[in-house]
Amino acid sequence: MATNRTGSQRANGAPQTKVCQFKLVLLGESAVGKSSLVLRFVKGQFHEYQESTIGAAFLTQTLCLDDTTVKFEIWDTAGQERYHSLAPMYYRGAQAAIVVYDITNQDTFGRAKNWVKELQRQASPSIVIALAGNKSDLAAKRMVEFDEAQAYADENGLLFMETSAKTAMNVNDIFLAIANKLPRNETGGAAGAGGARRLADGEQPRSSACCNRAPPRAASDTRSGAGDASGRGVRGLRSSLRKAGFTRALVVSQAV
Amino acid sequence: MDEESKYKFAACTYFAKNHPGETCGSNGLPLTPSSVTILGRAQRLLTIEHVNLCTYLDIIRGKHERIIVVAETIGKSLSEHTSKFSNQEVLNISTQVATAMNFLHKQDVVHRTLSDDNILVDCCGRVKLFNYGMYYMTDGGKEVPFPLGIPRYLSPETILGGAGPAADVWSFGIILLELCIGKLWNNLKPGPILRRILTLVHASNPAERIAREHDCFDAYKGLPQSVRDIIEKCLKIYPGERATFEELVAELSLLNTEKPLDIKRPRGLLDCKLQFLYHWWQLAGGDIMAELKKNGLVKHNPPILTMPIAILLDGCPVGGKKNILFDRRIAKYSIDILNKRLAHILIQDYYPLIHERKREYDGITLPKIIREKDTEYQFHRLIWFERLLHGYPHTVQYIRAEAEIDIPPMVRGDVWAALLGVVGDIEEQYERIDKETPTPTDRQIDVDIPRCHQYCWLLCGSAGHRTLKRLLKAWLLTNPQYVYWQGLDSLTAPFLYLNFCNEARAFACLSAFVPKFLHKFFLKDNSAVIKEYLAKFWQITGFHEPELAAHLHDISFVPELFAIPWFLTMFSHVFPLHKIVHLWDALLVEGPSLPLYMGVGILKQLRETLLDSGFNECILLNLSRCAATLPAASATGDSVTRRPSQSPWM
Ligand SMILES: Nc1nc2c(ncn2[C@@H]2O[C@H](COP(=O)(O)OP(=O)(O)OP(=O)(O)O)[C@@H](O)[C@H]2O)c(=O)[nH]1
Ligand SMILES: [Mg+2]
Repeated sequence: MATNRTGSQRANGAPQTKVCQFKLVLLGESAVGKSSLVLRFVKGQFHEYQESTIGAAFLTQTLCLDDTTVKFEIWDTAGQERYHSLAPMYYRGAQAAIVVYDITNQDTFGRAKNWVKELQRQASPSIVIALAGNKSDLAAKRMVEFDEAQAYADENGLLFMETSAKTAMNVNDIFLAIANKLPRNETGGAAGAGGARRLADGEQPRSSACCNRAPPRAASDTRSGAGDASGRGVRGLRSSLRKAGFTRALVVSQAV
Repeated sequence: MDEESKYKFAACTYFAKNHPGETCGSNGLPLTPSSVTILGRAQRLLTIEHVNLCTYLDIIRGKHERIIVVAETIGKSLSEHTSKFSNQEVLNISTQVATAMNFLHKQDVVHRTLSDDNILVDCCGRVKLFNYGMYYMTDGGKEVPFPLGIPRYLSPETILGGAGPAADVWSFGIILLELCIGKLWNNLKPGPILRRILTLVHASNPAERIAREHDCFDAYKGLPQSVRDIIEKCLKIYPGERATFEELVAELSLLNTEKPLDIKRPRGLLDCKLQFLYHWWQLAGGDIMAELKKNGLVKHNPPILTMPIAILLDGCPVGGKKNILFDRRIAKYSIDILNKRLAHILIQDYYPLIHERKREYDGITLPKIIREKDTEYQFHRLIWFERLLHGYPHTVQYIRAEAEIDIPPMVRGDVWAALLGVVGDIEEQYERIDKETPTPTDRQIDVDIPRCHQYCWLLCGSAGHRTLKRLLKAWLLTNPQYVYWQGLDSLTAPFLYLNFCNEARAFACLSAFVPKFLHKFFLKDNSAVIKEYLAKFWQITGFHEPELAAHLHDISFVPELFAIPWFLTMFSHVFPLHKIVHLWDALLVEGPSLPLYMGVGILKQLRETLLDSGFNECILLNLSRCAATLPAASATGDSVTRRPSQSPWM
């Protein structure tokens, strides 16, 4: 259900491209680098003094993956425990989650485990969860061993990578790995419960003015076709890069 | 007016230490540049006032870690005085220097660079120390790449690297000796001078020994016994044996028969606060940098010459022409342009009377931002506000009325405090709060502070970080009913920014602000309050912008998703400080329902875009980029904005 064939409607795009839209949520203790990871993924930037997140922030990014365009709608949540009560409204209906901890801080790993537990209990059963051990550039101050986290991830069936928003290490990769694991056709995608999107889907829960309810439903943008303008040019570039032996996927457009 | 008294400000410049290459702190993030640390430390100096100290006026951070220090100036320095001083003059000068030093030591400021070129004397014999804060602002010289002080004034223990405040007493002794027997070690290079000083360690009476070295023993012995006593009490090898400035002041004032100068208070412009003069002078086009360049204190080398010859793998450059790290010369500035600009102002305009005023100035029709840059407008406003603030708290209704027009940036901190009703011994109250004991909230505060308005040079230095933490801890401790919500840091930042050297007032302002504008927002469970506030916001949006509200409703663009940081922090988390101050100027006079209209104002500004957009585009709009304008608040009655959980006294 997360798939939408809008390709044929586009004037400039490649008609055979499928467009999939996924809702992804970032969770984790405060200051582990959630916003930094998103900023790196979406804009390729790193701000040392990235402001703390209050409530949540929303960003989108599009990936080109073989014959599919994958559009991530990313909810970057506030890490402070007090904002916990807001979290369900962001992970509800999400098809993917990245749970982030800071490899230099053991407590943040504990908090990450709690998030995983909560997601396994409360989120959509088919949610793809990735665990990100961020700040891997600070390996000298490491407090969480790679093997320990890897073992935990294996046990729980999570994707796992150590990332660094600062050096960009594994940042695109983790999003890619998620995109690859997400079902990308109509039949495969149907599992995602609570669907993150589509006004067209019909029912329209009136938002009550309560912070703990009102699930954010990201509406689609078939009209504006954000990110499509660069379609052909980037595809061309992509194929030549691929010929030159570069990674098989490439971030193609920035929706912001 | 004679030549030397026409200069009112002087500037000097130096370079802060450059962190080599790409070194990072232990958190993997770049180290705070030394110039930022200096800027933060120097803020305290800006508040120090004493008759014998040149008031600091500004610390500017230039390119490439350059620091420019602007301060008051008078007369000329001892080193520029060519004629010899009489005994009486020497006593008069040294009494004033000792008084200034005593004051500094009481404030825990060590001078360390006391020398003949930073002791200024004017034609009436008034003495002021210039740039006495080098050691203090550079954290004991740690933040600069050059040694501080002139070799011949350094005490032996300073040279050996373990000096305390008593080193200043030694320097004072050397200066006194020089005033009596002439310049010491005149033709020697720094190295030999330092060696000479160190050999004094063996002398039983260093002062006599120095005099003998300079063939001045007889001249020295010819000095009054009392003066020699003082010199010798200063020039003790063991720092602990030296007199303190308190003792020296006491002794010198007995000897000094000259009465303290009774300078007639000038009228008009020169009667105004020096800080105001400097501010107006800048508005009138005064340019610190221009004079520095003209005097060759700031030089621009062609880039090709400054290119390093090589760059090491760690990023350290090698070679390339460097600017002089610290030029001891100073540039002086007269206030001629300001005099000309304000020449037509009548003397009575300098002393307005509170009750007979209602004069409009031309500037009033201009936008606020332009008014803030208008010399004459700011002149009248500042004089007037200064008057009103003087009468605070009795003048509070006048202050409020004026603040509705605008608030001059120079006194914004004072005016905000007045609008928030800050009175009483806030220092004493703040002093009593425990701001140090660790609490479980500390981790959150510690990770938030380095992310809070860090583009601001004041807030990003270590001084700013420490103070913000103390303020937050103090507030949490005094408000046990509340907890730390992320965002409280941003809320505190504007108060710290405006009261950087007046922590107690920053705290008092915050303490008064929260109950007025954010009653119950920081409760552990604040969801009901926030829900209510957002509902009110949505209701008003619907009232003013029905079409827009319907559209946003349809696409589920609900305030929960974007407006919590707006209201929880009164926009301080979403706007940069220079916008927040204007926003809060209005907030403080309009009262707690204004933020709701500000929110509507933002949506209104983006109306067309929002109407054309779906959910994603709406939420991706960078809402903070718009100017925060206010829609007609009067269009809605007051009762509409009333919320049950509003603070009862607003
Ligand atoms: N060295 C290093 N620092 C990082 C990295 N990622 C983030 N940081 C820093 O860690 C701090 C916190 O990063 P944020 O992205 O704001 O953390 P967050 O998880 O979004 O925090 P909340 O918004 O409070 O939940 C910032 O100062 C970042 O500069 C990294 O990979 N390496
Ligand atoms: Mg964040």
